[in-house]
Amino acid sequence: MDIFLQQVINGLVQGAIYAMVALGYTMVYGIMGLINFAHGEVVMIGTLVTITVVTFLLKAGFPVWLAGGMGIVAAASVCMVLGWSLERVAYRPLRGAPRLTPLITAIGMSIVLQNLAMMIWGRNYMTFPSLIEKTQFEIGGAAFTNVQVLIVLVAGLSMGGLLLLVYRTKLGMAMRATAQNPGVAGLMGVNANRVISSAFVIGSVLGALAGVMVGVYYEIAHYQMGFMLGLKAFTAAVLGGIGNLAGAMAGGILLGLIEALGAGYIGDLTGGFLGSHYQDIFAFVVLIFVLMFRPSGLFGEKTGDRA
Amino acid sequence: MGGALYRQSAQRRWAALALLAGLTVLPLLLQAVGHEFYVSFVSRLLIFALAATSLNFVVGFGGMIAFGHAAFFGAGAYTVAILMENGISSALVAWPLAIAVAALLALGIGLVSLRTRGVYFIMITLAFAQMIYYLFISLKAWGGDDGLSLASRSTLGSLPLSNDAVFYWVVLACLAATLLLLDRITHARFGRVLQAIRENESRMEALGYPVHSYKLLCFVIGGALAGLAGALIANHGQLASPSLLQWTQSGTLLVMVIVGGVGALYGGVVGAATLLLLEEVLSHFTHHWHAALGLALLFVVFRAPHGIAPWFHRRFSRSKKNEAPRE
Repeated sequence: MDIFLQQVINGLVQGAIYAMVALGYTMVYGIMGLINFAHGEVVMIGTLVTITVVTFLLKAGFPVWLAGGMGIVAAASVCMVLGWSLERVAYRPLRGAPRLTPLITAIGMSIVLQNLAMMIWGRNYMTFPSLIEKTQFEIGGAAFTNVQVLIVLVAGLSMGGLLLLVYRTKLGMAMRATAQNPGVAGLMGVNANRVISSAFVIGSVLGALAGVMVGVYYEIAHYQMGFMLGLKAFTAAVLGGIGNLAGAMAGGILLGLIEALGAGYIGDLTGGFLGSHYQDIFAFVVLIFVLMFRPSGLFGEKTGDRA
Repeated sequence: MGGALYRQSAQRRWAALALLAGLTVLPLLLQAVGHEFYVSFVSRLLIFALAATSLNFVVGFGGMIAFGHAAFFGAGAYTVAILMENGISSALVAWPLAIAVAALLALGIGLVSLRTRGVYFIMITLAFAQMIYYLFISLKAWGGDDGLSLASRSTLGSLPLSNDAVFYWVVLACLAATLLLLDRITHARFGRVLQAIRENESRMEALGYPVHSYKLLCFVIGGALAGLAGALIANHGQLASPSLLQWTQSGTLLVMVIVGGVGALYGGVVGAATLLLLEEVLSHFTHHWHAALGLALLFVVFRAPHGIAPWFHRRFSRSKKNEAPRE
């Protein structure tokens, strides 16, 4: 029982991070039908920028809360600029091109960003400076830390904020309209370029926050961490039904839970044939099963021939 | 109109024959200038051209964006390696079996995956391929992480396949045969229906075509040809490595197809040549060749959003009324 509860807690935290990243994918896809494969790299840059800024400020003698806060602000601003320019440089020139072509620029940008990060921060693993003194709590035999609570809280607040933005503001209305029908939205006076840019910027800010969470949680970062995280988060978005905000959140949490529980029990399930480092298998098995019975994801509506 | 079309196809046929002749004498030329090393490199290039071509059939003609093609590529390679391990080294047995295994795998995966479409199809094919990858790296009997090495190349009658030039010619023959086959298929009734389905699936369904079976057959043909490429790549490096099955491999093949030209017969060949040559050249010049490759990809795609093969075709073909390349 305690292993179960423990893995549920770990899964929730990991799932919250996946959900934050998945939102970035799903917003862009929902509005322009594009898979922004470079989003994972944006998250990675967010983590690395935070490390640099926080380390520098702590050394300069700033108090922890100020250094941490400025680290987050720096990561968010860098990622905002990065997401915005990504769209301008790599995707906007190809708006009229065949649907698959932006995939190449996405992969190209992703390679370039990874190498850029490698040149700036080097090949080695970097440790995340400890900002928060870890304290442990216990419930029913399962332990959790204040860091985990904080991650889930911040993720919940950001997602709530996003929902408010999308469903209660004029910009959000413009986004939903563009997602439904770009042509008609344009006729109603919605500026599609502005909507698309804001989707990238908002997605990147969520990605930056997720990057800070990854750093605080695992206390380690690397220039290659973005791609796998991005792939998992994208899987989560597909699981929930891509283009759907609630779906991305649910998909992220679900994926986190499945992976954590899978890692906890995989050895017993396969008689030791597969170790816990094969936990990725669970994500894919679940994806296949979900898509077999719900070909458009858990919350997805039946879409046309988009790809 | 008919005359122009005829001229155009005659022109293409001559260009293809000239290219084939050039590639056939290439090993002799390289030997003459003392660069035999490159024979092996070009063999590898041609094998990847074959694999990319098989994927291009699925993506470009069937309209299915498959992100798990590495599964069939790797399955072909492992079939040859496993048979070799058990003492069956004849290419006449092992290679057809590699094709069959890959085709069967494609049938199974296709049956389930074709329920979905678009981005869901991308992800479900990726998921299947990853599961096969994990299966192979955890099977210690078949090499696990290290892969399974071949004691020697397959035997093909009295042909000395261990000779790099001879192996090159066999690879070239396989590629040429595949291109010819696909050219015939895409111009035959089956290929026409397939392309019509790609353009408008619901209309073809309404006309009474068994859309699902057509797409499935296309997926299986693509998988089978990738199996052949896999058999060749296992022979080339005398190794069936799990990296052949990894999702990055599927990604590389897809990049080749898109860069070369989706739905263009030679798209896979052009894409494979572009990517591998760029890799080879850039890695000579700079340490950060990955970044250079990324930038080069960006440049290519901005210059030729429909892929290099259609771009080239439009630029240098006399007739301006070429079939518009499709996504």
